[in-house]
Parts: sequence; structure tokens; C-alpha cells
Amino acid sequence: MKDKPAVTLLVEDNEAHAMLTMRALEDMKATNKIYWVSDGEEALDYLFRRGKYASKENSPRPDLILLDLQLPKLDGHEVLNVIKQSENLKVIPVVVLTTSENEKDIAQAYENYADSYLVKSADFGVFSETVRELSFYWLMQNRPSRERRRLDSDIGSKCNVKNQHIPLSPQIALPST
Amino acid sequence: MKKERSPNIKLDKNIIVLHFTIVACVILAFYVAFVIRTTVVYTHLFYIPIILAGMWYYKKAVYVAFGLGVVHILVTFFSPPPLSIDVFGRAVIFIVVAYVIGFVSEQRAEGEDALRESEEKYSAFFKTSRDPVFITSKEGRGVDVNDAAVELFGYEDRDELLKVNVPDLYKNPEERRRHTQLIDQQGFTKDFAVNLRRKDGSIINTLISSVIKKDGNGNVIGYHETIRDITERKRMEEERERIFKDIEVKNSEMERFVYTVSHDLRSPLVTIQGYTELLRKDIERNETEQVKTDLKYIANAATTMDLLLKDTLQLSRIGRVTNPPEDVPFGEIVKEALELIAGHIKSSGVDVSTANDFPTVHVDRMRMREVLVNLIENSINYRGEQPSPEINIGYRVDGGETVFFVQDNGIGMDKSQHKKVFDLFYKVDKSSKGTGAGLAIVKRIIEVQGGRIWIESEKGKGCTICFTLPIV
Repeated sequence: MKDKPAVTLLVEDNEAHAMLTMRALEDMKATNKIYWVSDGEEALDYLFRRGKYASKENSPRPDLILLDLQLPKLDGHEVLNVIKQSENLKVIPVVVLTTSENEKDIAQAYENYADSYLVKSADFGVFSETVRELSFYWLMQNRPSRERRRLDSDIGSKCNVKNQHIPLSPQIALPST
Repeated sequence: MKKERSPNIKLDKNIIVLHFTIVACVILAFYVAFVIRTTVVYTHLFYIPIILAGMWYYKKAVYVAFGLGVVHILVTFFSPPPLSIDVFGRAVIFIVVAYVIGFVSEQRAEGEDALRESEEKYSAFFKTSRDPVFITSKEGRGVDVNDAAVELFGYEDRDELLKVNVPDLYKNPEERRRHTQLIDQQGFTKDFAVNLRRKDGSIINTLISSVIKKDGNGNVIGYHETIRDITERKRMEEERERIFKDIEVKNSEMERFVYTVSHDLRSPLVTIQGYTELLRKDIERNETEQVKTDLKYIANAATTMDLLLKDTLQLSRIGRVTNPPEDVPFGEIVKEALELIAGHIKSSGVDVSTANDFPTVHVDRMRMREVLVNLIENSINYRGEQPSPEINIGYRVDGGETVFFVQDNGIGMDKSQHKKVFDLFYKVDKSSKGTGAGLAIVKRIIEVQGGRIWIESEKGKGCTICFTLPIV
């Protein structure tokens, strides 16, 4: 079905949780590359190819975004809002992955057009199963618009974003190995 | 309706005078008739006892007139001048005059009685009323006040209070004009809310109900005003309002607190349980390196959880466990705080300067020291790559308010962070140590002391944390 591996962007400030998510997706390694950024600003830098993500090689357009809500600098809601306001990015499915079960968070996420809302479970079996299934669904089973996928080439230049953030921390996106 | 007026002590003198004049008149009549034995008109003098009797004893004057008439007739009959019809005529006139005077006097007395009675009733009510009542003239002088009013305004006695100009009893004397205008306009006021000034200068909240007083020609001569002191009621209302607001704030704080804590405490739990599961798998697969990583994550998460719990506990203590506030020169607290972390300051190479003289504040000394230590350490930790890091502790007066500040020339922060940094467990920089509870704790301490705290900063341009405290 695919000519190149799918790309998942993981926005997660907690290193342990990021690793946990990546391990949950281990089985899909061959077909799925994961890029990890650790705060909201960095996520937008990646998506809009700014700063250290200016080159396309460093920031392939993701097919799926896994987004935590509690993030330093720019929180997940704001990141989600920016993504869904952007003509080019709004088609990318965004799965909110958080420990928050707060109704307000859930409502706000869906108001900002989150595609799914997933609560991190303390039970690793359940957690990895859900992450796996969800990723599998969005990346393999769900059929995205081919038309849209082709827009990939020049997202950075066209987007119309309110917040112009400069990257602060020298965090490097870790592709899963 | 006739009322029998019983003679009272005052009338005893009248009786003597009356009897004296009657006797004088009778002697005069005999003297003229039998000693002088000529015709002299003396009967005009008879009107003296008749009029007196009429005024004092009303229609009973008729008896006096009748008696004097009889005397006049008899002495004339036995005296040389002849008895004429005029003599009888005069006697009748005596009686008529006595009756008329008696009647008129009685009428007037009845009216006066009614008036006195009503005035007595009114005055008793006025005097004993527990509602302060004020009778004022149009010109703004007090005409009469009752004891309750004297007490309300805190004056020694009635006369002292009456010496004060009525507008000066108002907190804002201009209000008085507005008030009287309104009474003049509608003839009364009901519950006119006004702040009045007591003798000692304290202000009381009152409601005044007044009616206009006019003379017979409809000219305004003054006002009757009843004052109701609602200071206490108002204070209680405000107190209630304040408590409600307080509870609301506390409630939303609590909600946020629970939300944050549940999220932040859950996070390490997810890690621990997740890696425990992975650990089991990795042991089965004999992946030693992975096992080490798993254990590291588990240990770190447990440490984080411990720190989070400690900070949460500390935060919850701030409101509950307080040392009594004392008057401390702020400079002393600064000095103590700097001494406490002298080592850290020295090793970091930060240059700390402080203002020379600080105002004295009314605070929990230990907690404030904690605040300063926290803020100075923050400045040290976020000095960034600054080659000559500086911290300046001082104060300024902003619109009459004293604002203390801890200023640095470190990395600073974007405006979007200014509020968030005070959130519990919020960290600007993920890699910095600590749980991110420091500023939340600082904020809570400042607020418990009754102050406010905020940040003035721009990214790359240093950071100034400002706060207010109760000043002595």
C-alpha cells in the first residue's frame, strides 16, 4: 500500500513516556518511523520546518501526530489549535495521548478537532495495545486522501500561522531505531 | 367633649389674687357708698376680678359677676344716690362679660390641652425612641435631637450635637444638599442611603427617612429625619460577599490543584507500571541493556513521584501552618536569605546587589525568607550563558503601592509564560532540576500574606519578579 514508511510525530515532554510509546510501536518499526519532539514549540518548528527543522530531511511530513497535552512552553491544546487552523496540516490525524481524564481537556481537544483522545493507562498491556491499534488504524487502515498527501512538498512556506516561535532547547528528534 | 380641669398647685396663687381683688372691690363699693357718699363710677374696677376669674376659672366667673352685681345693687339701694335701672343693667353686663370671657378662655384652654397632650405624647416618643431622630432647620442647623441620635453620633450631649452644622455630619457635606433637594422635591425621603461622620471621625452607613416640615403658609421650615444605622449590617454583607468570593477562588484553586496533582502524579505511575511490564519482557528475552534502562526509568519515576508528593505537601501546608506575622524590616529578611544560600551564590559567580533601605513589612518571616531563597535560586538557575550574571533585589513605589522585586539579567521568558510559570509543576525548561513547584509555592506564600506576585520579563532580556506585601 505504501512506497515509503509512514511517519509518526510524537510530541511528548516526558522521556520515559516517549520511550514507552515507542516501544509499544516497536512491532511496526519496519513500516513506521517515529520522530520525537519534547515541547510544543519544537513540535511547531518541526511541522512548519523552522529553525533546526528547516531542511526537509529532518522533518518529513507526519502521517500521524501523537500529542501530549501538558507540554512546556506551548501546551498541547495550543499546538493542536495551530495544526488544525493550518490549511496544510489540518488533514493530518492528531491523536491526543495524555494522562488527563479531565472533561474540560477532552472537550477542548475535540473542539479543536482532535481526531482521537486517548488516556495513558497505567496498565502497560492496555496502553501499548491501544497505542498500537490506534496507530495501525490511522496509518494502515484509514485511507487518507492521496491528493492531500502530495501537498507534502512545501508545507513550510505556505502556512499561515499566528505564533512565530523560535526553538529554545537543543533537543534532537529521535527517530526510533 | 368637656373635661373637668382640677385645680392644681399653680392655681392657689390665682385664688388668693382673685379673692383679694373681689374683697378690694367690695370694700371699695362700701367705702364709696357709705363713707364718701357721693356718686362715683367705681364699677369699672369690678371687671378686674371678673376677667381674672374668667381667664382662670372660665364660666365660674359668672358667680363672681353675679356676686359683685348683687353687691353693687345692694350698696346702691342703701346709699344716698338713687337706685336706677342702670345699676341692674351694669350687673347684667358683669354677668355677660364673665360668661363670654369664661367661654372663650375655656375654648382656648381645651385647644391648648389637646396640643400639650399631643406634644407630650410626641415628645415622649421622640425622646425615648431608639431610632435616632433629628429635627433640622432649612438652613441646616439642628433644632432638636433625641438621645439615640446623640449616642449614634458619639457626642457628649444634645447641646454639643446641636452646635454642629448638619452638612458637617455628612461624610461628604455635598450629599446634604442633594438630600434636602430630594426632600423638598417630593416632600419626603425613604431610606436615603448616606454615610455620616461621628464625632470621632469614624464613618457610619445609614439610611435616612425624612419628612418636610412646613409653616401655615406652606413655607419649608425644616425637616424631621429618622436615621437608621446599617453599618453593622453592611459590614456583615460585605464580609459575606468577601467570604463567598474567597470560597470561589479557593474552590477553583482546589480544582486546578487536584487536576494538576492527579495528572502529574499519574505520570510517573504510568512510567513505573509500563516499565515494570517491559522489564518482565526484557528479563525473559535476556536483554541486559534494556533491563538496565527499564530500571533507570522506574527509579527515576519513583524519585519524581517522591519529590512531587513532598512539594504538594509543602504547598498544602502554607495555608494551614502559618507563623504569626510580625513587623520585620524587609532588608533583614533579604540578608537572612542571602546568608542561607551564600554558598550557591558564590559558586555560581552571580553578583547580588540590594537596595540600602527597605520598608518594614508585616509578614510571616520564615515563609518570606523561603520566598526570597526560592526567587534568588531561580535567578541563579536561569542565568543562562550570561557572562556577568547579576541579581538586584529592591523595591519601587508604583502608584502609591510598594512593589518589591528580584531582578536578574538571565535568559528571561516570553510573555506567554508569565502566568504559566506560577502553575504547579510547570517547568519552562524540562531539563532544569526540581519539580516546577517553586514558583507555585512562592505565589501561594505571597497570597497568604495578602500580597500579589507577577513577572515582568522578555525573552533574552532578564526577568523581574515583582510582589507586594502588607507594609507597616
